[in-house]
Amino acid sequence: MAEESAEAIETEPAEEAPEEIGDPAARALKDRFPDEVLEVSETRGETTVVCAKSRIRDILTLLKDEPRLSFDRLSDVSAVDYTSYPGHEPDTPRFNVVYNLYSHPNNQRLRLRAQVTEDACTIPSVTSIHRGAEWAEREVFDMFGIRFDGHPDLRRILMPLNFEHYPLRKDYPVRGMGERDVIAPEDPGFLGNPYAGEEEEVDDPLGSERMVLNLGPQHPATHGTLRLTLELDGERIVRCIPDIGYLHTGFEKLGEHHTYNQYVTVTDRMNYLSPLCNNIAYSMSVERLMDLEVPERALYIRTILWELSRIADHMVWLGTHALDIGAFTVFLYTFEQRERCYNIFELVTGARLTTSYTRIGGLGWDVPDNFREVVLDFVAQFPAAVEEVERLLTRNRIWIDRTKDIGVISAEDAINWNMSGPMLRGSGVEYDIRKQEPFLVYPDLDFDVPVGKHGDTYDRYLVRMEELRQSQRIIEQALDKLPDGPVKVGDAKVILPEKGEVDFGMESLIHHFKVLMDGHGLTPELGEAYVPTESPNGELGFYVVSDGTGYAYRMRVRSPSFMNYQAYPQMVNGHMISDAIAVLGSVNVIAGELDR
Amino acid sequence: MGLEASLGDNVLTTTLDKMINWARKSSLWPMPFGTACCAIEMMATLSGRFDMARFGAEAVRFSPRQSDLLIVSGRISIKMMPVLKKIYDQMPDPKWVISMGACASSGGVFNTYTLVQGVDQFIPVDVYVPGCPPRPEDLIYGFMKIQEKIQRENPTQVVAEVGA
Repeated sequence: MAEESAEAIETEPAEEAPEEIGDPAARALKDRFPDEVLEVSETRGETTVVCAKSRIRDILTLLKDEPRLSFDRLSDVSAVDYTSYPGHEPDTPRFNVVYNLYSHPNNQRLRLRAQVTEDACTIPSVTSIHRGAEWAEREVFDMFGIRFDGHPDLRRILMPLNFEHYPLRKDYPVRGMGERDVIAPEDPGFLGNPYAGEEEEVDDPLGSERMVLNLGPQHPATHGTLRLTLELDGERIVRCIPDIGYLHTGFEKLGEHHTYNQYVTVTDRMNYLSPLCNNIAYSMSVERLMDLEVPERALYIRTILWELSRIADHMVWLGTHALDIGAFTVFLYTFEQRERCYNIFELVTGARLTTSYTRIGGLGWDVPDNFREVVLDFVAQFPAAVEEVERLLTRNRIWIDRTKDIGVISAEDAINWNMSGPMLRGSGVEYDIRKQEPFLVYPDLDFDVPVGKHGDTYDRYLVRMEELRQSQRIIEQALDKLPDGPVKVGDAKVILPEKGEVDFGMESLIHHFKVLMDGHGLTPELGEAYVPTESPNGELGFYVVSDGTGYAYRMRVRSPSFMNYQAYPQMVNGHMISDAIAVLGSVNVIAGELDR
Repeated sequence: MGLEASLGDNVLTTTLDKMINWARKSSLWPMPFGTACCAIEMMATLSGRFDMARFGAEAVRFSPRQSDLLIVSGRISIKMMPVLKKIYDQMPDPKWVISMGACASSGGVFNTYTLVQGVDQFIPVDVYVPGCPPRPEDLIYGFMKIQEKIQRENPTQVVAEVGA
């Protein structure tokens, strides 16, 4: 290392001597790939390695296979278009493909950024190392036009197949180029037969024909917007191809055109079963970017609301999952509990569903005085409601027959497919971000992480049911410990002053004006941040890149539904059609979060 | 029973139009085209606390061929619009459409490349329910507006015109 840095000083005397790399993974990469690793930075507790694209496969293989590193999960693949980034030169590569890695054994994260030029807009695909990169790479292709060499199925994933542009490139306008004003007469994404042109493999002596069945997007069990193309042998699924993107809304593009506080409103609508989790997860990323310390009371309130959201989210999952399998009663019971959660959200935030409660640096306002009583009332009656549903389902013969050994996925596969949340824990992997990479005030609270054994639909059901009880425990403890104090940081450059002060104080008026003025208030320094959180469905995180203005330069959402859903074909192949519905319910795909 | 007892041997007179309208408005079968947040509130409207059955509209049908009220609730992307159009075309007449929420009505907060800025550009809409998302009470109000609209129609005249 010392020799290398000496050389660097000799060849480029203007540059500072490279600092000692603290992160062992980054150090190992620098040792093994001295030509490819271009830059290592360690800021805000996150390590980023910028590298050349040519040997990206070797780099990821090393990171995965080297025992002391073992980055076994590729948590996310995204990209950034640096065209208009401050300091970007025309001759430097336009795109960076961003890999976000996690090591289960070492509980460590690492971010890799591989440079891709506009002229040679390709990069080797890493799907042979991490299966879970498949959809994420397709999305990068769809949004940026970067091709992945060796990808098994490189098609557009979110936009219709006949779409011509790459929406997340900086030169594509946020309102589009008129595509939304006409109906595409024949959208091949909807009408095309994905098997056309493929050769049929005939190994059936009876010569029975296989049937291609289109399920969705408008089907009661596909929750509105999912579409599956199933190839059937009788009633047995031989092949399943999910088609997503029917609810693609442009969340990530909008993130670049809203100020940091405005964007809170937009995050509500991403996972509409637990909007508060989105608000909080987003705010945490920007707060890390700005090095803000949120007051403790705000953290506790956020934790309570986070767990209430988990309950509300699991209630919809449970109701619709049971409804799809044919147990309608459960739906009515769980929606009653959800209404009770709504009452609390409405009391606190003013809205049932689109809460927009957090601000960067805290909460919009404090909770009302009777918050404690109302929440305690809710948690007091809640266990009985869970038990009632459990009595209906857990030992119900039909329920067990429909869910046991259905949609099995092993622990290894679940990690390789980049699953998280209850999907991963159902397969027996004890990974809960609340424990492993704690956020909010979870280290101060006592709770258990339930894990399954078999990785089937039934185990995932049991895991989520136990999580409901644990959430209730967390809420009770957090209410007991809820401290007094402010709910926003004291920094007048970040937080809007109280309305009353603005009317009567000159200083407050100036602060108010400056916070709202473009480029004065919330302006993080150049850089990037990602905070992983354990949302009801799994790992939710916002990867925010700042260019020093009041708007994010890039807003990437790592959503659990998108990653969990891509292993679905593997889970249903060989099962009956009706099992496909049972498995779909257990994945709990939220279309808003899936398609963003 | 109650009604016959108070009427006795008397007769009620009304127009055929009113009779048909009353029958139609009292048993609408909704086709819920729910895609996003609004769909969750629509589910809340259909479940226990708000109970659409009070208006005779609890028989939710996911087949467009069996329904006469299309509730578009949620964002409609350019990839979804051909699907929605097809479903609307598959519904038999007479049919009505509720555009529930800001996104279906105008694109809402999502002024982006992928979102249709109001489904009324491509299919006719009878009632717009504002809100993001509308509360269940709002949807019920919109539903009652559809009922009022149906009550004002002249179905026999339409048949006569079409017949002529």
